[in-house]
Amino acid sequence: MSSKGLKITGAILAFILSIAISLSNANFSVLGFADAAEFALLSDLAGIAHAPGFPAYILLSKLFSTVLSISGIGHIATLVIFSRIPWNCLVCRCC
Amino acid sequence: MSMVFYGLCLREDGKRNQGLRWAAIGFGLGLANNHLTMLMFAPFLLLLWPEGWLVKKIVSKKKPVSSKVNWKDLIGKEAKHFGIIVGAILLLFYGWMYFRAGSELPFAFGSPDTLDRLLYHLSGGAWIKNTQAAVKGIVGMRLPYFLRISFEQFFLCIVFLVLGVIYLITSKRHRLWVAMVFYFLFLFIYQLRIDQTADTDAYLCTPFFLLSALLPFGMARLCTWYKHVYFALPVFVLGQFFVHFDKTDLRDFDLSTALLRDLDQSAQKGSVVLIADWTNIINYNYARVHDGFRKDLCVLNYDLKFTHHDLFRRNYPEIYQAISVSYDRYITLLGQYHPEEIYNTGCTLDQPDLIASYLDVIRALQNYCKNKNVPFIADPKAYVFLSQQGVFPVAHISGSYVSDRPGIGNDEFLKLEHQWLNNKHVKMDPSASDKLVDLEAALDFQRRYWQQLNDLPRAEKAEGKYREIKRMQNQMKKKMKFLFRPA
Repeated sequence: MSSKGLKITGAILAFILSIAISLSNANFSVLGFADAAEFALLSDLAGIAHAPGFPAYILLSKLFSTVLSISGIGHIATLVIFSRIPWNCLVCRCC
Repeated sequence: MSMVFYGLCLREDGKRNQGLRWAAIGFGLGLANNHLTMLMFAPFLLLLWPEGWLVKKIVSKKKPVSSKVNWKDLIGKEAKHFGIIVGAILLLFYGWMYFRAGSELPFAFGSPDTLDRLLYHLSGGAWIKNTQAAVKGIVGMRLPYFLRISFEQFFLCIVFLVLGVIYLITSKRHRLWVAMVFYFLFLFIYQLRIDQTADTDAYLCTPFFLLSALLPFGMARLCTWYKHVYFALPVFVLGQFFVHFDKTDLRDFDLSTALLRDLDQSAQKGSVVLIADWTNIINYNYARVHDGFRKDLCVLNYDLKFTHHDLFRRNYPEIYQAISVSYDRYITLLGQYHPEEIYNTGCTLDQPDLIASYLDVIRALQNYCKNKNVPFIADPKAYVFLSQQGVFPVAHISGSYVSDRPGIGNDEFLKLEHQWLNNKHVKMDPSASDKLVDLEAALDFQRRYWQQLNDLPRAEKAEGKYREIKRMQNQMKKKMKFLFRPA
Protein backbone atom coordinates (compact mmCIF):
# COMPACT_ATOMS: atom_id res chain seq x y z
CA MET A 1 0.00 0.00 0.00
CA SER A 2 1.27 3.46 -0.85
CA SER A 3 2.05 6.03 1.81
CA LYS A 4 -1.05 8.03 0.87
CA GLY A 5 -3.20 4.90 1.03
CA LEU A 6 -1.83 4.08 4.46
CA LYS A 7 -2.62 7.57 5.69
CA ILE A 8 -6.19 7.42 4.41
CA THR A 9 -6.72 3.96 5.87
CA GLY A 10 -5.34 5.19 9.19
CA ALA A 11 -7.64 8.19 9.14
CA ILE A 12 -10.70 6.07 8.37
CA LEU A 13 -9.77 3.64 11.14
CA ALA A 14 -9.27 6.51 13.59
CA PHE A 15 -12.67 7.91 12.65
CA ILE A 16 -14.49 4.57 12.95
CA LEU A 17 -12.72 3.61 16.17
CA SER A 18 -13.34 6.93 17.90
CA ILE A 19 -17.02 7.06 16.94
CA ALA A 20 -17.47 3.40 17.91
CA ILE A 21 -15.93 4.02 21.33
CA SER A 22 -17.94 7.18 21.80
CA LEU A 23 -21.24 5.52 20.87
CA SER A 24 -20.51 2.31 22.81
CA ASN A 25 -21.64 3.82 26.11
CA ALA A 26 -24.14 6.37 24.83
CA ASN A 27 -27.82 6.39 25.66
CA PHE A 28 -30.00 6.80 22.58
CA SER A 29 -33.34 7.50 24.20
CA VAL A 30 -32.77 9.71 27.23
CA LEU A 31 -31.90 13.37 27.65
CA GLY A 32 -29.58 14.70 30.32
CA PHE A 33 -29.36 17.64 32.68
CA ALA A 34 -29.74 21.33 31.99
CA ASP A 35 -29.89 22.33 28.31
CA ALA A 36 -29.96 18.89 26.64
CA ALA A 37 -33.74 18.88 26.26
CA GLU A 38 -33.75 22.54 25.14
CA PHE A 39 -31.43 21.80 22.23
CA ALA A 40 -33.32 18.60 21.40
CA LEU A 41 -36.58 20.54 21.32
CA LEU A 42 -35.11 23.34 19.25
CA SER A 43 -33.48 21.00 16.78
CA ASP A 44 -36.99 19.64 16.25
CA LEU A 45 -38.66 23.05 15.94
CA ALA A 46 -35.75 24.94 14.35
CA GLY A 47 -36.28 27.59 16.99
CA ILE A 48 -34.08 29.95 18.99
CA ALA A 49 -32.06 28.79 21.98
CA HIS A 50 -30.97 30.78 25.00
CA ALA A 51 -28.46 33.58 24.44
CA PRO A 52 -26.66 33.91 22.10
CA GLY A 53 -29.10 31.69 20.19
CA PHE A 54 -26.71 29.04 18.79
CA PRO A 55 -28.22 29.21 15.27
CA ALA A 56 -25.41 27.17 13.67
CA TYR A 57 -25.88 24.28 16.08
CA ILE A 58 -29.69 24.41 15.82
CA LEU A 59 -29.78 24.45 12.02
CA LEU A 60 -27.07 21.82 11.55
CA SER A 61 -28.67 19.47 14.08
CA LYS A 62 -32.07 20.05 12.44
CA LEU A 63 -30.55 19.16 9.08
CA PHE A 64 -28.80 16.11 10.50
CA SER A 65 -31.85 14.82 12.37
CA THR A 66 -34.10 15.38 9.35
CA VAL A 67 -31.73 13.41 7.13
CA LEU A 68 -31.26 10.58 9.64
CA SER A 69 -34.96 10.42 10.52
CA ILE A 70 -35.57 9.16 6.98
CA SER A 71 -33.74 6.01 8.02
CA GLY A 72 -36.11 5.60 10.98
CA ILE A 73 -33.57 6.43 13.69
CA GLY A 74 -35.20 8.21 16.65
CA HIS A 75 -34.78 11.93 17.21
CA ILE A 76 -32.70 11.72 20.39
CA ALA A 77 -30.53 9.02 18.83
CA THR A 78 -29.79 11.22 15.81
CA LEU A 79 -28.78 14.07 18.12
CA VAL A 80 -26.50 11.77 20.12
CA ILE A 81 -24.83 10.62 16.92
CA PHE A 82 -24.60 14.23 15.67
CA SER A 83 -22.94 15.43 18.86
CA ARG A 84 -20.55 12.50 19.10
CA ILE A 85 -19.23 12.36 15.58
CA PRO A 86 -15.51 13.15 15.77
CA TRP A 87 -15.90 16.14 13.46
CA ASN A 88 -12.21 16.91 13.58
CA CYS A 89 -11.44 13.53 11.93
CA LEU A 90 -14.16 14.13 9.41
CA VAL A 91 -13.07 17.66 8.56
CA CYS A 92 -9.34 17.11 8.51
CA ARG A 93 -9.25 13.78 6.73
CA CYS A 94 -12.26 13.53 4.48
CA CYS A 95 -11.82 16.92 2.81
CA MET B 1 -12.30 24.77 15.83
CA SER B 2 -11.17 21.76 13.83
CA MET B 3 -12.02 23.61 10.62
CA VAL B 4 -10.02 26.65 11.73
CA PHE B 5 -7.04 24.51 12.57
CA TYR B 6 -7.36 22.55 9.36
CA GLY B 7 -7.32 25.87 7.48
CA LEU B 8 -4.24 27.02 9.36
CA CYS B 9 -2.49 23.74 8.57
CA LEU B 10 -3.34 24.10 4.85
CA ARG B 11 -1.81 27.58 4.88
CA GLU B 12 1.23 26.10 6.53
CA ASP B 13 1.37 23.61 3.67
CA GLY B 14 1.47 26.43 1.14
CA LYS B 15 -2.24 26.30 0.21
CA ARG B 16 -2.92 29.81 1.41
CA ASN B 17 -6.25 30.53 -0.24
CA GLN B 18 -7.75 27.14 0.50
CA GLY B 19 -6.56 27.43 4.09
CA LEU B 20 -8.01 30.91 4.42
CA ARG B 21 -11.42 29.67 3.27
CA TRP B 22 -11.47 26.74 5.70
CA ALA B 23 -10.33 28.89 8.60
CA ALA B 24 -12.92 31.56 7.79
CA ILE B 25 -15.76 29.04 7.50
CA GLY B 26 -14.74 27.44 10.81
CA PHE B 27 -14.42 30.80 12.52
CA GLY B 28 -17.78 31.94 11.15
CA LEU B 29 -19.55 28.77 12.28
CA GLY B 30 -17.93 29.14 15.70
CA LEU B 31 -19.18 32.71 15.98
CA ALA B 32 -22.65 31.54 14.98
CA ASN B 33 -22.57 29.07 17.83
CA ASN B 34 -20.91 29.75 21.20
CA HIS B 35 -19.20 32.92 20.00
CA LEU B 36 -17.34 33.63 23.24
CA THR B 37 -15.04 30.63 22.92
CA MET B 38 -14.29 31.63 19.33
CA LEU B 39 -13.78 35.32 20.14
CA MET B 40 -11.28 34.33 22.82
CA PHE B 41 -9.43 32.35 20.19
CA ALA B 42 -9.21 35.34 17.84
CA PRO B 43 -5.88 36.70 19.24
CA PHE B 44 -4.34 33.25 18.83
CA LEU B 45 -5.71 32.95 15.33
CA LEU B 46 -3.87 36.15 14.52
CA LEU B 47 -0.76 34.73 16.13
CA LEU B 48 -0.89 31.63 13.92
CA TRP B 49 -2.01 33.41 10.75
CA PRO B 50 1.47 34.12 9.35
CA GLU B 51 3.03 30.84 8.20
CA GLY B 52 6.02 29.28 9.85
CA TRP B 53 4.49 28.23 13.18
CA LEU B 54 4.72 24.52 12.34
CA VAL B 55 6.74 23.50 9.27
CA LYS B 56 9.45 26.09 8.98
CA LYS B 57 11.80 24.09 6.75
CA ILE B 58 9.24 23.12 4.14
CA VAL B 59 7.84 26.61 3.89
CA SER B 60 11.27 28.18 3.77
CA LYS B 61 12.12 26.09 0.68
CA LYS B 62 9.22 27.55 -1.23
CA LYS B 63 9.31 31.03 0.11
CA PRO B 64 11.50 32.49 2.82
CA VAL B 65 9.39 33.32 5.81
CA SER B 66 10.33 36.05 8.17
CA SER B 67 9.95 35.32 11.85
CA LYS B 68 8.31 38.75 12.16
CA VAL B 69 4.57 39.05 11.69
CA ASN B 70 3.70 40.75 8.42
CA TRP B 71 0.88 43.05 9.57
CA LYS B 72 0.38 44.48 6.10
CA ASP B 73 -0.79 41.06 4.93
CA LEU B 74 -3.10 40.71 7.88
CA ILE B 75 -4.99 43.92 7.29
CA GLY B 76 -4.83 43.68 3.54
CA LYS B 77 -6.42 41.43 0.97
CA GLU B 78 -6.52 38.33 3.16
CA ALA B 79 -8.32 40.12 5.97
CA LYS B 80 -10.97 41.33 3.53
CA HIS B 81 -11.40 37.84 2.09
CA PHE B 82 -11.60 36.37 5.57
CA GLY B 83 -14.01 39.07 6.75
CA ILE B 84 -16.36 38.57 3.79
CA ILE B 85 -16.67 34.82 4.41
CA VAL B 86 -17.15 35.23 8.17
CA GLY B 87 -19.61 38.09 7.63
CA ALA B 88 -21.65 36.05 5.13
CA ILE B 89 -21.91 33.12 7.54
CA LEU B 90 -22.94 35.38 10.42
CA LEU B 91 -25.49 37.13 8.24
CA LEU B 92 -26.90 33.81 7.14
CA PHE B 93 -27.29 32.29 10.60
CA TYR B 94 -28.13 35.37 12.70
CA GLY B 95 -30.31 36.72 9.88
CA TRP B 96 -32.24 33.47 9.94
CA MET B 97 -32.57 33.79 13.72
CA TYR B 98 -33.90 37.34 13.38
CA PHE B 99 -36.65 36.26 10.98
CA ARG B 100 -37.39 33.00 12.78
CA ALA B 101 -38.06 34.93 15.99
CA GLY B 102 -41.26 36.23 14.43
CA SER B 103 -42.78 32.72 14.21
CA GLU B 104 -45.32 31.52 16.76
CA LEU B 105 -43.51 28.41 17.99
CA PRO B 106 -44.52 26.45 21.10
CA PHE B 107 -41.10 27.28 22.51
CA ALA B 108 -39.06 30.44 22.02
CA PHE B 109 -36.24 32.15 23.85
CA GLY B 110 -35.25 35.80 23.84
CA SER B 111 -37.47 36.80 20.89
CA PRO B 112 -34.69 38.58 18.93
CA ASP B 113 -37.10 40.00 16.34
CA THR B 114 -36.04 43.61 16.86
CA LEU B 115 -32.52 45.00 16.59
CA ASP B 116 -32.39 45.86 20.32
CA ARG B 117 -33.49 42.41 21.37
CA LEU B 118 -31.22 40.73 18.81
CA LEU B 119 -28.22 42.62 20.20
CA TYR B 120 -29.28 41.81 23.78
CA HIS B 121 -29.56 38.13 22.88
CA LEU B 122 -26.25 38.11 21.02
CA SER B 123 -24.46 39.82 23.86
CA GLY B 124 -25.35 37.03 26.27
CA GLY B 125 -28.81 38.10 27.43
CA ALA B 126 -29.70 37.39 31.03
CA TRP B 127 -26.71 35.02 31.33
CA ILE B 128 -24.27 37.92 31.22
CA LYS B 129 -25.27 38.86 34.79
CA ASN B 130 -23.82 35.56 36.00
CA THR B 131 -20.50 36.28 34.35
CA GLN B 132 -20.27 39.77 35.84
CA ALA B 133 -21.31 39.02 39.42
CA ALA B 134 -18.42 38.91 41.86
CA VAL B 135 -18.85 36.11 44.40
CA LYS B 136 -16.37 36.06 47.24
CA GLY B 137 -14.23 32.94 47.30
CA ILE B 138 -15.83 31.37 44.22
CA VAL B 139 -12.52 30.83 42.41
CA GLY B 140 -11.03 29.01 45.40
CA MET B 141 -14.10 26.81 45.70
CA ARG B 142 -14.19 25.87 42.02
CA LEU B 143 -10.46 25.54 41.37
CA PRO B 144 -9.90 22.02 42.80
CA TYR B 145 -12.79 20.55 40.81
CA PHE B 146 -11.75 22.11 37.53
CA LEU B 147 -8.10 21.21 38.05
CA ARG B 148 -9.22 17.65 38.62
CA ILE B 149 -11.36 17.44 35.48
CA SER B 150 -8.53 19.00 33.45
CA PHE B 151 -6.13 16.40 34.84
CA GLU B 152 -8.59 13.56 34.19
CA GLN B 153 -9.13 14.76 30.65
CA PHE B 154 -5.55 13.80 29.81
CA PHE B 155 -4.72 11.48 32.72
CA LEU B 156 -2.22 8.88 31.41
CA CYS B 157 -1.44 11.07 28.43
CA ILE B 158 -0.53 14.09 30.56
CA VAL B 159 3.10 13.10 30.20
CA PHE B 160 2.76 13.61 26.42
CA LEU B 161 1.14 16.97 27.04
CA VAL B 162 4.18 18.13 28.98
CA LEU B 163 6.60 16.55 26.50
CA GLY B 164 4.66 18.18 23.67
CA VAL B 165 5.17 21.64 25.15
CA ILE B 166 8.86 20.88 25.74
CA TYR B 167 9.23 19.62 22.16
CA LEU B 168 7.61 22.75 20.72
CA ILE B 169 9.76 25.00 22.90
CA THR B 170 12.98 23.23 22.00
CA SER B 171 12.09 23.19 18.29
CA LYS B 172 11.27 26.91 18.55
CA ARG B 173 7.63 26.57 17.56
CA HIS B 174 6.74 29.12 20.19
CA ARG B 175 3.60 30.48 18.56
CA LEU B 176 1.98 27.06 18.50
CA TRP B 177 2.44 26.11 22.15
CA VAL B 178 1.60 29.66 23.28
CA ALA B 179 -1.71 29.53 21.36
CA MET B 180 -2.67 26.12 22.75
CA VAL B 181 -1.65 26.65 26.34
CA PHE B 182 -2.74 30.27 26.75
CA TYR B 183 -6.11 29.70 25.06
CA PHE B 184 -6.74 26.97 27.63
CA LEU B 185 -5.61 29.22 30.49
CA PHE B 186 -7.77 32.13 29.26
CA LEU B 187 -10.95 30.07 29.25
CA PHE B 188 -10.05 28.11 32.37
CA ILE B 189 -9.65 31.29 34.41
CA TYR B 190 -12.66 32.97 32.77
CA GLN B 191 -15.09 30.19 33.66
CA LEU B 192 -13.69 29.75 37.18
CA ARG B 193 -15.13 33.12 38.20
CA ILE B 194 -18.66 32.26 37.08
CA ASP B 195 -20.92 31.26 39.93
CA GLN B 196 -22.87 28.55 38.17
CA THR B 197 -23.38 24.97 39.25
CA ALA B 198 -23.57 23.54 35.75
CA ASP B 199 -22.58 24.30 32.17
CA THR B 200 -19.37 26.28 32.59
CA ASP B 201 -17.20 23.19 32.10
CA ALA B 202 -18.47 23.22 28.51
CA TYR B 203 -16.26 26.28 27.95
CA LEU B 204 -13.32 23.90 28.25
CA CYS B 205 -14.34 21.72 25.28
CA THR B 206 -12.47 23.73 22.66
CA PRO B 207 -9.35 24.35 24.80
CA PHE B 208 -9.19 20.62 25.60
CA PHE B 209 -9.45 19.90 21.89
CA LEU B 210 -6.55 22.23 21.17
CA LEU B 211 -4.47 20.91 24.05
CA SER B 212 -4.99 17.38 22.76
CA ALA B 213 -3.17 18.46 19.59
CA LEU B 214 -0.05 18.67 21.77
CA LEU B 215 -0.13 14.93 22.43
CA PRO B 216 1.29 13.82 19.04
CA PHE B 217 4.21 16.21 19.56
CA GLY B 218 4.88 14.66 22.96
CA MET B 219 4.66 11.19 21.46
CA ALA B 220 7.01 12.23 18.68
CA ARG B 221 9.46 13.55 21.28
CA LEU B 222 9.41 10.22 23.09
CA CYS B 223 9.91 8.32 19.84
CA THR B 224 13.02 10.35 19.07
CA TRP B 225 14.48 9.08 22.35
CA TYR B 226 13.23 5.48 22.22
CA LYS B 227 12.35 4.45 18.69
CA HIS B 228 10.52 1.21 19.58
CA VAL B 229 8.22 2.90 22.06
CA TYR B 230 6.08 3.72 19.01
CA PHE B 231 4.38 0.34 19.35
CA ALA B 232 3.49 0.95 23.01
CA LEU B 233 1.75 4.28 22.40
CA PRO B 234 -1.72 2.78 21.73
CA VAL B 235 -1.55 1.35 25.27
CA PHE B 236 -1.86 4.88 26.64
CA VAL B 237 -4.89 5.63 24.50
CA LEU B 238 -6.56 2.32 25.32
CA GLY B 239 -5.68 2.76 29.01
CA GLN B 240 -7.41 6.11 28.94
CA PHE B 241 -10.46 4.43 27.40
CA PHE B 242 -10.66 1.72 30.06
CA VAL B 243 -10.10 4.11 32.97
CA HIS B 244 -12.77 6.58 31.83
CA PHE B 245 -15.31 4.20 30.37
CA ASP B 246 -17.40 3.91 33.57
CA LYS B 247 -17.39 7.66 34.17
CA THR B 248 -18.80 8.32 30.74
CA ASP B 249 -21.11 5.33 30.56
CA LEU B 250 -24.63 6.65 30.11
CA ARG B 251 -26.35 3.41 29.17
CA ASP B 252 -28.26 3.23 32.48
CA PHE B 253 -28.77 6.98 32.65
CA ASP B 254 -32.55 7.43 32.69
CA LEU B 255 -32.86 11.00 33.93
CA SER B 256 -35.49 12.38 31.56
CA THR B 257 -37.65 9.25 31.61
CA ALA B 258 -37.44 9.05 35.42
CA LEU B 259 -38.47 12.70 35.84
CA LEU B 260 -41.34 12.39 33.40
CA ARG B 261 -42.47 9.13 35.02
CA ASP B 262 -42.56 10.95 38.38
CA LEU B 263 -44.66 13.71 36.85
CA ASP B 264 -46.95 11.23 35.12
CA GLN B 265 -47.55 9.30 38.35
CA SER B 266 -47.97 12.43 40.49
CA ALA B 267 -50.29 14.54 38.35
CA GLN B 268 -53.97 13.73 37.95
CA LYS B 269 -55.67 14.43 34.67
CA GLY B 270 -55.88 18.13 33.85
CA SER B 271 -53.66 19.28 36.75
CA VAL B 272 -51.99 22.66 36.75
CA VAL B 273 -48.34 22.10 37.69
CA LEU B 274 -45.82 24.70 38.81
CA ILE B 275 -42.16 23.71 38.47
CA ALA B 276 -39.05 25.57 39.63
CA ASP B 277 -36.42 23.47 37.91
CA TRP B 278 -35.04 23.98 34.41
CA THR B 279 -34.14 20.34 33.70
CA ASN B 280 -37.59 19.16 34.72
CA ILE B 281 -39.66 21.72 32.85
CA ILE B 282 -37.63 21.71 29.64
CA ASN B 283 -37.76 17.90 29.52
CA TYR B 284 -41.55 18.08 29.90
CA ASN B 285 -41.74 20.64 27.09
CA TYR B 286 -39.63 18.45 24.81
CA ALA B 287 -41.78 15.39 25.53
CA ARG B 288 -45.02 17.36 25.14
CA VAL B 289 -44.06 18.96 21.83
CA HIS B 290 -42.15 16.06 20.31
CA ASP B 291 -44.01 13.02 21.68
CA GLY B 292 -47.37 14.47 22.75
CA PHE B 293 -46.67 13.52 26.37
CA ARG B 294 -49.43 14.44 28.89
CA LYS B 295 -50.98 17.22 26.86
CA ASP B 296 -53.81 17.30 29.39
CA LEU B 297 -51.50 19.00 31.91
CA CYS B 298 -50.75 22.69 32.19
CA VAL B 299 -47.09 22.72 33.25
CA LEU B 300 -45.75 26.16 34.10
CA ASN B 301 -42.36 27.43 35.05
CA TYR B 302 -42.21 29.18 38.46
CA ASP B 303 -42.14 32.54 36.64
CA LEU B 304 -45.43 31.54 34.91
CA LYS B 305 -44.34 32.71 31.46
CA PHE B 306 -41.27 30.44 30.95
CA THR B 307 -38.98 31.78 28.20
CA HIS B 308 -41.47 34.05 26.44
CA HIS B 309 -44.58 35.77 27.79
CA ASP B 310 -46.71 34.57 24.86
CA LEU B 311 -46.04 30.85 25.39
CA PHE B 312 -48.87 30.65 27.94
CA ARG B 313 -51.44 31.82 25.36
CA ARG B 314 -49.94 29.63 22.62
CA ASN B 315 -49.73 26.42 24.63
CA TYR B 316 -52.68 26.70 27.04
CA PRO B 317 -55.27 28.92 25.30
CA GLU B 318 -58.20 27.77 27.43
CA ILE B 319 -56.47 28.45 30.75
CA TYR B 320 -55.04 31.70 29.43
CA GLN B 321 -58.58 32.83 28.61
CA ALA B 322 -59.61 32.15 32.21
CA ILE B 323 -56.75 34.07 33.81
CA SER B 324 -55.87 36.59 31.10
CA VAL B 325 -56.75 39.70 33.14
CA SER B 326 -54.35 38.95 35.98
CA TYR B 327 -51.72 37.37 33.69
CA ASP B 328 -51.62 40.33 31.31
CA ARG B 329 -51.29 42.76 34.24
CA TYR B 330 -48.39 40.72 35.62
CA ILE B 331 -46.64 40.71 32.23
CA THR B 332 -47.23 44.44 31.79
CA LEU B 333 -45.68 45.22 35.17
CA LEU B 334 -42.79 42.80 34.62
CA GLY B 335 -42.19 44.42 31.23
CA GLN B 336 -42.07 47.85 32.89
CA TYR B 337 -39.62 46.91 35.65
CA HIS B 338 -37.54 44.29 33.82
CA PRO B 339 -38.23 44.55 30.08
CA GLU B 340 -35.85 41.74 29.12
CA GLU B 341 -37.50 39.22 31.46
CA ILE B 342 -40.76 38.90 29.52
CA TYR B 343 -38.72 37.37 26.67
CA ASN B 344 -36.47 35.22 28.85
CA THR B 345 -36.68 32.97 31.89
CA GLY B 346 -36.88 34.40 35.39
CA CYS B 347 -38.86 37.09 37.12
CA THR B 348 -37.30 39.50 39.58
CA LEU B 349 -40.17 40.18 41.96
CA ASP B 350 -38.57 43.22 43.56
CA GLN B 351 -41.53 45.62 43.50
CA PRO B 352 -44.62 45.39 45.75
CA ASP B 353 -47.11 45.79 42.87
CA LEU B 354 -45.19 43.27 40.77
CA ILE B 355 -45.22 40.57 43.43
CA ALA B 356 -48.90 41.32 44.13
CA SER B 357 -49.70 40.83 40.44
CA TYR B 358 -47.71 37.56 40.39
CA LEU B 359 -49.66 36.25 43.38
CA ASP B 360 -52.91 37.32 41.70
CA VAL B 361 -52.07 35.03 38.78
CA ILE B 362 -51.42 32.17 41.21
CA ARG B 363 -54.80 32.78 42.86
CA ALA B 364 -56.47 32.94 39.46
CA LEU B 365 -54.89 29.60 38.55
CA GLN B 366 -56.05 28.09 41.83
CA ASN B 367 -59.59 29.38 41.20
CA TYR B 368 -59.48 27.86 37.73
CA CYS B 369 -58.45 24.51 39.27
CA LYS B 370 -61.23 24.78 41.84
CA ASN B 371 -63.84 25.49 39.18
CA LYS B 372 -62.62 22.65 36.97
CA ASN B 373 -62.08 20.34 39.96
CA VAL B 374 -58.47 19.60 39.02
CA PRO B 375 -55.44 19.66 41.32
CA PHE B 376 -53.01 22.57 41.59
CA ILE B 377 -49.62 21.05 42.26
CA ALA B 378 -46.09 22.39 42.66
CA ASP B 379 -42.63 20.92 42.96
CA PRO B 380 -41.00 21.34 46.39
CA LYS B 381 -39.03 24.50 45.46
CA ALA B 382 -42.08 26.26 43.99
CA TYR B 383 -44.21 25.10 46.92
CA VAL B 384 -41.81 26.57 49.49
CA PHE B 385 -41.94 29.96 47.75
CA LEU B 386 -45.73 29.94 47.39
CA SER B 387 -46.31 28.83 50.99
CA GLN B 388 -44.00 31.62 52.20
CA GLN B 389 -46.22 34.04 50.28
CA GLY B 390 -49.32 32.53 51.90
CA VAL B 391 -50.89 31.25 48.69
CA PHE B 392 -50.55 27.52 49.32
CA PRO B 393 -52.28 27.06 52.69
CA VAL B 394 -53.28 23.39 52.42
CA ALA B 395 -50.58 20.94 51.32
CA HIS B 396 -50.70 17.23 50.54
CA ILE B 397 -48.01 15.14 48.96
CA SER B 398 -48.49 13.81 45.47
CA GLY B 399 -45.49 11.68 44.52
CA SER B 400 -42.56 14.04 44.16
CA TYR B 401 -44.88 17.07 44.12
CA VAL B 402 -47.05 18.96 46.61
CA SER B 403 -50.76 19.20 45.88
CA ASP B 404 -53.68 21.25 47.16
CA ARG B 405 -55.63 18.01 47.67
CA PRO B 406 -54.77 14.39 48.55
CA GLY B 407 -52.44 13.24 45.82
CA ILE B 408 -51.49 10.14 43.90
CA GLY B 409 -48.32 8.23 43.05
CA ASN B 410 -46.81 8.25 46.54
CA ASP B 411 -46.02 4.54 46.75
CA GLU B 412 -44.57 4.61 43.23
CA PHE B 413 -42.36 7.58 44.08
CA LEU B 414 -41.10 5.91 47.27
CA LYS B 415 -39.67 3.11 45.14
CA LEU B 416 -37.39 5.82 43.73
CA GLU B 417 -36.79 3.99 40.49
CA HIS B 418 -34.19 6.46 39.29
CA GLN B 419 -31.38 4.45 37.73
CA TRP B 420 -29.38 7.61 37.07
CA LEU B 421 -28.71 7.96 40.79
CA ASN B 422 -26.38 4.94 40.53
CA ASN B 423 -24.57 6.22 37.46
CA LYS B 424 -20.88 7.04 38.03
CA HIS B 425 -21.02 10.00 35.70
CA VAL B 426 -23.69 11.66 37.84
CA LYS B 427 -21.47 11.64 40.92
CA MET B 428 -18.95 13.76 39.01
CA ASP B 429 -21.47 16.10 37.40
CA PRO B 430 -22.29 19.39 39.15
CA SER B 431 -25.57 19.56 37.21
CA ALA B 432 -26.87 16.65 39.30
CA SER B 433 -26.85 18.75 42.46
CA ASP B 434 -30.04 20.64 41.61
CA LYS B 435 -31.94 17.43 41.00
CA LEU B 436 -30.62 15.93 44.23
CA VAL B 437 -31.88 18.97 46.15
CA ASP B 438 -35.32 18.45 44.59
CA LEU B 439 -35.37 14.76 45.46
CA GLU B 440 -34.14 15.50 48.98
CA ALA B 441 -36.96 18.02 49.49
CA ALA B 442 -39.61 15.69 47.99
CA LEU B 443 -38.51 12.82 50.24
CA ASP B 444 -38.39 15.17 53.22
CA PHE B 445 -42.04 16.07 52.58
CA GLN B 446 -42.87 12.39 52.20
CA ARG B 447 -41.26 11.29 55.47
CA ARG B 448 -42.87 14.14 57.48
CA TYR B 449 -46.26 13.55 55.88
CA TRP B 450 -46.33 9.85 56.72
CA GLN B 451 -44.97 10.52 60.21
CA GLN B 452 -47.85 12.92 60.85
CA LEU B 453 -50.33 10.30 59.62
CA ASN B 454 -48.55 7.71 61.78
CA ASP B 455 -48.03 5.48 58.71
CA LEU B 456 -44.74 4.09 59.96
CA PRO B 457 -43.86 1.67 57.10
CA ARG B 458 -44.12 4.47 54.54
CA ALA B 459 -42.38 6.94 56.86
CA GLU B 460 -39.47 4.51 57.29
CA LYS B 461 -39.24 3.90 53.57
CA ALA B 462 -39.17 7.64 52.89
CA GLU B 463 -36.59 8.10 55.66
CA GLY B 464 -34.34 5.44 54.11
CA LYS B 465 -34.49 7.01 50.64
CA TYR B 466 -34.00 10.48 52.12
CA ARG B 467 -30.80 9.33 53.83
CA GLU B 468 -29.56 7.76 50.58
CA ILE B 469 -29.88 11.11 48.84
CA LYS B 470 -28.22 12.95 51.71
CA ARG B 471 -25.31 10.50 51.59
CA MET B 472 -24.91 11.11 47.88
CA GLN B 473 -24.99 14.85 48.40
CA ASN B 474 -22.27 14.61 51.06
CA GLN B 475 -20.08 12.60 48.68
CA MET B 476 -20.52 15.24 46.00
CA LYS B 477 -19.90 18.03 48.48
CA LYS B 478 -16.45 16.65 49.23
CA LYS B 479 -15.50 16.66 45.54
CA MET B 480 -17.30 19.89 44.58
CA LYS B 481 -17.22 22.40 47.38
CA PHE B 482 -18.97 25.06 45.35
CA LEU B 483 -22.15 22.96 45.46
CA PHE B 484 -24.62 22.91 48.34
CA ARG B 485 -23.00 25.91 50.01
CA PRO B 486 -25.14 28.24 52.12
CA ALA B 487 -26.76 31.07 50.13
